[in-house]
Amino acid sequence: MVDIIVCLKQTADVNQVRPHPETLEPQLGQAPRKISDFDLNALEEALRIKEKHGGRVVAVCVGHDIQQLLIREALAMGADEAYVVSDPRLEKADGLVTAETLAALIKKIGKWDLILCGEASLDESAYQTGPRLAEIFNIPHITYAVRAELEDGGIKVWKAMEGGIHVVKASLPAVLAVGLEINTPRLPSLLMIRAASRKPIHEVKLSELGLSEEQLTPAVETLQVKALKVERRRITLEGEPEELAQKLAEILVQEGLVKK
Amino acid sequence: MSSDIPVRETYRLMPPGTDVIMYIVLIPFAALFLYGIYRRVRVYGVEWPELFRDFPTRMGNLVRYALLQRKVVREKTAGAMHLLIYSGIIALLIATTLVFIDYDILRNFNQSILRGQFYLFYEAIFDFMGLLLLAGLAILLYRRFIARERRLRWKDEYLLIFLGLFFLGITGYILEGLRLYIAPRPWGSWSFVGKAVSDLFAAFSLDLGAALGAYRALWWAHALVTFTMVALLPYSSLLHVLATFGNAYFSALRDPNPGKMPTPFRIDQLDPETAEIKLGARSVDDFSWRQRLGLDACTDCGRCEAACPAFASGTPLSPRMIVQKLREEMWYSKDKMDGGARDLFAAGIIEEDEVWACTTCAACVEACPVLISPLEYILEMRRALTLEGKLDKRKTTMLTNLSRLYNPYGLPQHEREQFLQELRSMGVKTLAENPEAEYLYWIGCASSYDARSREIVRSMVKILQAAGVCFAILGEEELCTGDPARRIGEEGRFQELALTNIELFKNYNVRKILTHCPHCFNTFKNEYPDLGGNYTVIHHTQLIGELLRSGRIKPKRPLAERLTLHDSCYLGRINGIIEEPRMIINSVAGDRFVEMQRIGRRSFCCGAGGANYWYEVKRENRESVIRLNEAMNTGASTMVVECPYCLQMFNDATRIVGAEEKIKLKDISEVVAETLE
Repeated sequence: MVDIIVCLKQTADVNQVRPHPETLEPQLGQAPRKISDFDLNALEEALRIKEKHGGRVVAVCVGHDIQQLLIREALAMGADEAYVVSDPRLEKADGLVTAETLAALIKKIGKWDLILCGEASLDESAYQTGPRLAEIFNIPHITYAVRAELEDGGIKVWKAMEGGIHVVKASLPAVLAVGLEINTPRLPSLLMIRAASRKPIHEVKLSELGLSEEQLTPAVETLQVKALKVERRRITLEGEPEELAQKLAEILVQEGLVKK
Repeated sequence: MSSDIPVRETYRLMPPGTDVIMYIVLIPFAALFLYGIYRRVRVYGVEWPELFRDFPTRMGNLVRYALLQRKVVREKTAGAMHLLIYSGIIALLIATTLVFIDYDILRNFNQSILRGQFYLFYEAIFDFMGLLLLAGLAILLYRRFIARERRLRWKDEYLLIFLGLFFLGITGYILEGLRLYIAPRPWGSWSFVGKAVSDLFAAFSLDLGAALGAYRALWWAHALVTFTMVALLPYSSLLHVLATFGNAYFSALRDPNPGKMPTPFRIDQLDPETAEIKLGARSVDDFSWRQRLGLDACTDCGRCEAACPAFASGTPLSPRMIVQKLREEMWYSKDKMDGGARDLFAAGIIEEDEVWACTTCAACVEACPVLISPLEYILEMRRALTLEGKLDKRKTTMLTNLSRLYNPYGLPQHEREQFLQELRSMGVKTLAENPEAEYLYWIGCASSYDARSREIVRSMVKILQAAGVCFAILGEEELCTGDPARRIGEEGRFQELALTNIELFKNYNVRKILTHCPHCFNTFKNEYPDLGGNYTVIHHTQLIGELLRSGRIKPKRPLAERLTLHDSCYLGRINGIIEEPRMIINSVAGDRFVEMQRIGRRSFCCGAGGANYWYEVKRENRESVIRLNEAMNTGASTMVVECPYCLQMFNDATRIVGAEEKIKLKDISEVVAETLE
């Protein structure tokens, strides 16, 4: 029996984000929102652990303008209940603020053995929240997990690192940050999503968490984000395959894309 | 009784009291038979109130397909075989029943029907019918051991059934021969086969005492084998003789159109607080009683398998094995009488890829001689898998695309802006701009997002404008019909899309929908009515055909190339639109139109249907390549299609086999548009 907390972030669906035609700034507010892909992998992994070992899976979500329907999708996947903090003050939250808020929320939930989260978020890709959370609780954390198994009261994790897979173990409680390769998240059918309205979603006010002004102030200030405007060069090569390969190779070397 | 009037002499050569002993011996066999039937009916869980609904339709199906075997005889050899065995057995059953009536009933009233002219006729006719049985069995041996038809499976049970039938056929004649040898009758030659057998005994001067001994032994053997076969009927494949009648009768409970999936609930009428979350089938108990009964009608004939494109492509799917495995599971696993049945997937009975490989082309439904729909079992199992949601990446992605972007391609709505702009420049209006338009021209996702399929729209617009048809499109408001969601088993998502579309159509007061996609066509026409959307739905082949017939468009430039036509499953087999495309091609190509071998209702799927376009199943070959080769074998330089998915599948196939130069792919509207310029 392992009780697991899964942290979910609601982000803009980056596939549907369009840059502003003039400023080239991504119009995040106009894109539909979704649960960050990595976090769905974390939830799926938690559910698989639950299916194998039993226990409870609690989803936690902090941010601004949290959409109930997306939380219900998580419950439809199989989470037992959800805790939500939705506050406009969290709109500019960075990894620091998010981790502080999540930690304060998790402290209210009670007993847990494992925290699962995505290794990064779909929109900002900062890779901060998981490790920061572990530091706050002063427990071990393992990132870039591509496989995880509970073993002798601890957790054994396969970590994807440059140049190979590291296999590591940690005692519980711990924080595990998972990558996209770890699983394919199950897709809740619409019928399940409707039925998930029977599961509890607890709304917690930011003010109830007792966070200080410092804890709620982002450490990072984003100055500007712009879409890259890339024009393709549309070079057409003609000739026999052998010649074409030769010409292509020359161009690649010329452009410095391949070293001779 | 005087011996000069021909008369049936029942038990003449048997010791007195044989009749009584025989009936006593029959009791346990009859009991076994009745218990077997009772047990089957219990396993099905028949809902009795449904028994007589729609009686005339049901009886019609029963007479046509069970009694007269209209679909069985569609195949020559197999049909002849079955018809011979079937009529032989039925005849022999009638013969025995007549004896029963004559001896066990009428005799008690000093009456007899088996005498005089009628009796002679009886002997001759049933001697002949016995030969039919043996001829049928001979064809059976031919198919198994000489023609070696690949689809015929071996089970020891089948050998025993064959031996039983063969034994009954042969011993019937031997008994008759012995009887006529021991007690010759002047009318003996009316039993022409029996007489020939008795002449054979005479030629060998068989000892009379030995003959009588053999007669009595064989008489009992014949009786016991008959009893055994009857007793085992509900426990073996022989049960099909009853189950097919039941299945034909109750098949009316299923929609006759395999393109219409049943609507198990209405998502807009479901109370999420109380509704039971159950959909599809994960065990044989989850199917309806009619579906369980249908499993018993399966004779393992393999016609569905021979017709199945997924099987031909070397995927794990065989519709026959689906039905056979479910049937076996129903028979041998725990049934309703002793607790729940097993989970089909967890127990390894059905592999997930078996149900995913199905293109829902309905070739199996068309092929089944006894009105089983392997497709309906497959679709119910898909629903159960999708409800659980543990799908692979590609299926998950497609469904996510449908829920987030409202199209299965996963392209944002704005991807088609440029194309819509182009259509606007051609003079095409949206319904918002032209609310009075006669037709809503539904573009469909394929032609909205796939560059090649957009050509179909350009051609259609040309044709519609040439004919002066008043139409409009939805433009950016167009979403997916929901077909891929429904076919993959995501009923809720399908209904959500369908209800959104229906609401939109209501706002625009849409009455007639024109579409060039057979899948959109089928969904609007057959599936939207269940959700309250009733429209006149027209496929572009139908409209183009009508425009040609009425002379509103006239081909000016005849085509020079040889054309062949691929019938799309959802248009031809499933919705019966077979003549229109041929009329169109004939009017633009005349005698340069060549047909493939498998056409119309027997056409072969391109491999994209049933959402298969969106995911992969392990396979050895591709449906599209098999079919493309059939098209190339006609010598045609253009393969005409009626479906944007067929178009994409065959375009890929030409690249796979390197035939891009040999054969061109065109939608039927493109062919017509070319002739207009």
